[in-house]
Amino acid sequence: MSIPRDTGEPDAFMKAVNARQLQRVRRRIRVALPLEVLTVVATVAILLLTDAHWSWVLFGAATATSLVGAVLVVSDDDAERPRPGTDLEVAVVVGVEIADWGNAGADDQHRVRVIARPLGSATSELVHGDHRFRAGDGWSARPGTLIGIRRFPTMKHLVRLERCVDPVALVRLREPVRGGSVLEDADVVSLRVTGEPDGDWWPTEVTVRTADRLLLVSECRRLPEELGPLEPGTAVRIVRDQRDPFTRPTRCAILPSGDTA
Amino acid sequence: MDADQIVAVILFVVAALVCLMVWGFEIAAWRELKAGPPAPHDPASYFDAVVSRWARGPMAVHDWLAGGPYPDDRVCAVDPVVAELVELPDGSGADETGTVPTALRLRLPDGERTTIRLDANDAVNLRPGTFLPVYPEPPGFSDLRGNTWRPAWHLDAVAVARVMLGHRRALGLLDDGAEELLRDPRPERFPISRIRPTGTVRAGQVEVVVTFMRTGSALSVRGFLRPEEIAAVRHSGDVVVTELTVRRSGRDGRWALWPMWF
Repeated sequence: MSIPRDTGEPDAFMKAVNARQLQRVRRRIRVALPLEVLTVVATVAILLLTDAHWSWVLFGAATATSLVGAVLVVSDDDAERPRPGTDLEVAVVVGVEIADWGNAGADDQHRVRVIARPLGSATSELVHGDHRFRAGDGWSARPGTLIGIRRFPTMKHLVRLERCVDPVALVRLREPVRGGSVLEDADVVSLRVTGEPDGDWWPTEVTVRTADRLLLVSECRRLPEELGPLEPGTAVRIVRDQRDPFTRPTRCAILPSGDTA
Repeated sequence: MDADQIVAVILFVVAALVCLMVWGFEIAAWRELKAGPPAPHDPASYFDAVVSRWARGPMAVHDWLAGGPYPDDRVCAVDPVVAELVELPDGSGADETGTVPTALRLRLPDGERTTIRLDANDAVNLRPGTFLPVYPEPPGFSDLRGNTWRPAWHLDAVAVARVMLGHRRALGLLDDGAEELLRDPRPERFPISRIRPTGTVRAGQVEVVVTFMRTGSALSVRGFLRPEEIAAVRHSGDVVVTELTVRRSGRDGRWALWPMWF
């Protein structure tokens, strides 16, 4: 059984792309068909009315037909959607779908569709955006990490993935970390689910140990998908939550990992 | 008619046929575009595909990767080990048969890394985190592509199931009753009503309790799923489970999550 889904209506950008493609195909058909007919008629006329050697006439006709065919298969790339001016949001990657594979283009790049859940979203509020990577480098993006997104205001699910976001700025959109923004390495010590969920978001408590043996706690609501990279013993990067500069910190925020963050 | 006339006629006919074919494609594209822009993409459709793959039985590595030799009666001198796919570089230059030269970067059980180059035709099965049974080439040897490890092509579906269940048990992802999955494997899909994480994570997989509806009554199973599989359960609305113990004396058997074999 699948959950019924509403993906919204095509927006003006999709309609404009469709109109351009339709116009392009129509132009090709209108130009190519008369040229094909003209080539056949001209070939027959030259063969009947002139003394030209007919092998050369047919060879010329074949060349003309090939040129018309070449005109048919050439296509222009459509422009990308302009970057939206909406606010930066944080989302959790929940799936990575290979969008094209096996035919890296002239730029030697593949494309994956990153599927994510904005923080606090309802089950039906999945978003997706494209991520390109060099074929030779491969991809290792794992579900469970955090990414920055900007919504396209006219699309229900499509978003733009923001790749060059400072991870500390990203995590601050989720957890109100105060104080410095120095990144530290730490190890996960324990992970607990501490209560009942708000929708799909469960209250969790992750305890980490820093290099100076300090135990810090990160508390926030997380999707179950986010717990995979938080196995006890795993190395993570954190930023301390230094609310009071004169006391030892007890809290921290865990930074996103993975190459889509 | 001399030879150059024959060549000219053949060229003309071939070129005309190719043009007609391309023109036919253009007409088909025009009809499709005329119907208007397609509906916006539904990201949840991907999870339907994940659950459909999950509901399959165990299969030989050849069928899963769609490449390499078929299993045979050959006995391999060493036992296969299960590696984890870390990265999937390359994947370019598909040929007419659909196979794609691919490199699989794998992490072996001892933590060492290796790369296996092979032809595959379904990228959907190849994603970071999946398991692949492999065995080493003899010391000092490699195949024509320089691979020092190769997928366990010689294992049939039953042998793959045995190896993968053993690996999952070793990682603590399955309990001691797991061998029952080999007796009469029968996956069933049921609609879910709730997914609850327990807070336990092993080998990057999250322990969850999934409550599903079967003939009007709510049943629960506990097991480990990868993050993407949890999302697939939630967004497809279905879980794949199996009844471990066949009904005896009118009593229901125990239910378990159906393993994602690879």
